[in-house]
Amino acid sequence: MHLLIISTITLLLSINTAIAAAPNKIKIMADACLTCHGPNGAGAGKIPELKGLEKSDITESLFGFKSGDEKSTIMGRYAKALSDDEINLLAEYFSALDK
Amino acid sequence: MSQLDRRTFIKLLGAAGVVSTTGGLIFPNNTAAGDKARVVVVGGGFGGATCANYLRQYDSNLNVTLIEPNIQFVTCPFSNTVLAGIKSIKYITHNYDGLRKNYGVNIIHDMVISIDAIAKKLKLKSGETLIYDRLVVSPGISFNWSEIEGANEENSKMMPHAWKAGTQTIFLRKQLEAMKDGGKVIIASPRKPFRAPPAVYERASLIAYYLKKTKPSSKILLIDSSGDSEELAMFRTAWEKLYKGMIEWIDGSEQGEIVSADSKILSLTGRTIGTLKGDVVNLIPPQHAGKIARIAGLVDESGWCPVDPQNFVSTLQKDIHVIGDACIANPMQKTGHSANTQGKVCAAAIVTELGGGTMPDITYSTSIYSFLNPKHAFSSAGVYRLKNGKLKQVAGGLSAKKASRKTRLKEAIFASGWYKGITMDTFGKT
Ligand SMILES: Cc1cc2nc3c(=O)[nH]c(=O)nc-3n(C[C@H](O)[C@H](O)[C@H](O)COP(=O)(O)OP(=O)(O)OC[C@H]3O[C@@H](n4cnc5c(N)ncnc54)[C@H](O)[C@@H]3O)c2cc1C
Ligand code: HEC
Repeated sequence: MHLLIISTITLLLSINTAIAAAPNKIKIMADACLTCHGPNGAGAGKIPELKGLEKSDITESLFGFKSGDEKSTIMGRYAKALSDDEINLLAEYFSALDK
Repeated sequence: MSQLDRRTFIKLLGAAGVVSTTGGLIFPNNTAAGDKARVVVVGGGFGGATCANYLRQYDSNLNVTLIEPNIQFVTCPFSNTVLAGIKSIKYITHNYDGLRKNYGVNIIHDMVISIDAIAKKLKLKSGETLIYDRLVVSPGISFNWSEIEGANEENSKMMPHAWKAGTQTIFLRKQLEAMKDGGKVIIASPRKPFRAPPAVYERASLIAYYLKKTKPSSKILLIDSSGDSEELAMFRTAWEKLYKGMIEWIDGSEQGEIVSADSKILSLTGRTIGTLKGDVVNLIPPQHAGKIARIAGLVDESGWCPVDPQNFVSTLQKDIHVIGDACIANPMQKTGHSANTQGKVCAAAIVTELGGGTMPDITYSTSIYSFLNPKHAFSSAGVYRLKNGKLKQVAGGLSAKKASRKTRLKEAIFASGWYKGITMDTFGKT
């Protein structure tokens, strides 16, 4: 019976690991950007790369697109959908991807 | 382990939602004792290929099998540039090597002919049967030929739809090439909803681009069942400037759609518009979800598949997700970008749910670029969020109505970037 409890705990722990392995909100939202910005955010054609940019450069662009101060052809229409928190977290995510 | 102990285990695990209905234990991470969860994806287009790819990215322990009859996939996006002689068919043709080699997706080139949602099995044309824990269906569209008297799959060679890319694109291109100067091209669009409505206007634009260069006395007649819209107004303004007098627009909405066709004399008849004859006829038939969705009982009376947009699970059949053009994801348009987005969300939802979690609040994005000529494009974008279980648009819209030549050129250049990005992302190229 002890053995059963121990293995049950081990199993439940493995389930918890599984939950931790599921993509979180920012990962899912960042992956949506790759459709245009290319695999790993490395850029696609003339659409700029995002990976490894300075976090402050990314937030500056995105807040600028959102307010309209930074001119864009399409990013303004996307950035308006993002909350300030999401912009900060996305910037952190992409800046942490290696060059 | 005794029977009783096993049952206790299953109960415990059941609370976390990881017991498959077949009774086997599914270990989301491939623990020593565990079975890998099997996810089968039907259809290797924008929705299915993306989903298979991201399922493996999100959980490399999943056993993911993609079933697609074709060894190569020819994209509808950019197929209008092939019609206009700007790009080659090779440019829009992709293979499945990336998914196989870079992401370990099992690929079976076969056709699914039936799905048993209760036994969680599906049958392939080759006779093989596959079992699954979760099924994702992304079969695209099929044509509702019965709505147009005299039109059918066989004679669609004479009046190509080119609304699935490949041989149909080549047929239409050859007919355009063979047409004499001064000829008339008819493009007839179907009633909504259908795949990528703006692509009808892009097609008219790019055919006009080709004709203006090579056969400048030719004309295009566009019978448009979508009727007037803000988007159409943008195209018409551009047509005035770029292709003055070449494209005649006919309102085919309000009962105006084509009801019969004669492929021998190349004529189309609509209830309100009478009979029109062309030298090249591009008849785009009414559409509904891909045939397998109907066979599997996934469609409602509209001919499309109702789903819960949180995870794209069918509201009609258990443990089956439907994504891409086939699903009802209003107000997201039926585009490759939408299908790609839905493929990722569906993959994330499957991995999250197998692990016992629930999906976070996220954005869903889509776009479609349209070329007016190789140096002039604009776009339509949309971002959506779930509100009370329904998708609501929170941002997006069309490119600026008035913009300089330079801005339209920039969008044309970004459109090519988009194509590169989405095809790499979808087909797992690195
Ligand atoms: C002319 C044109 C231009 C377009 N331009 C754009 C654009 O610029 N941008 C954009 O975002 N979208 C564009 N689109 C729309 C885009 O092509 C579709 O929205 C997209 O292909 C939908 O993806 P899907 O996965 O639903 O279907 P598809 O991409 O069509 O994939 C479906 C796949 O399922 C397979 N299949 C079907 N039945 C079975 C079965 N029983 N068993 C196994 N496999 C099966 C098919 O062989 C096919 O490969 C355009 C469309 C057209 C017609
Ligand atoms: C439809 C394609 C598309 C999507 C989707 C998209 N982008 Fe962009 N992005 C562009 C284009 C095109 C530009 C160039 C600016 C412009 O004209 O809009 C750009 C520019 C940027 C820039 C400026 C980079 C620089 O240094 O110049 C950032 C940052 C950015 N995008 C972040 C994002 C993030 C984050 C997402 C996802 C939430 C995203 N993008 C989704 C197309 C896209």
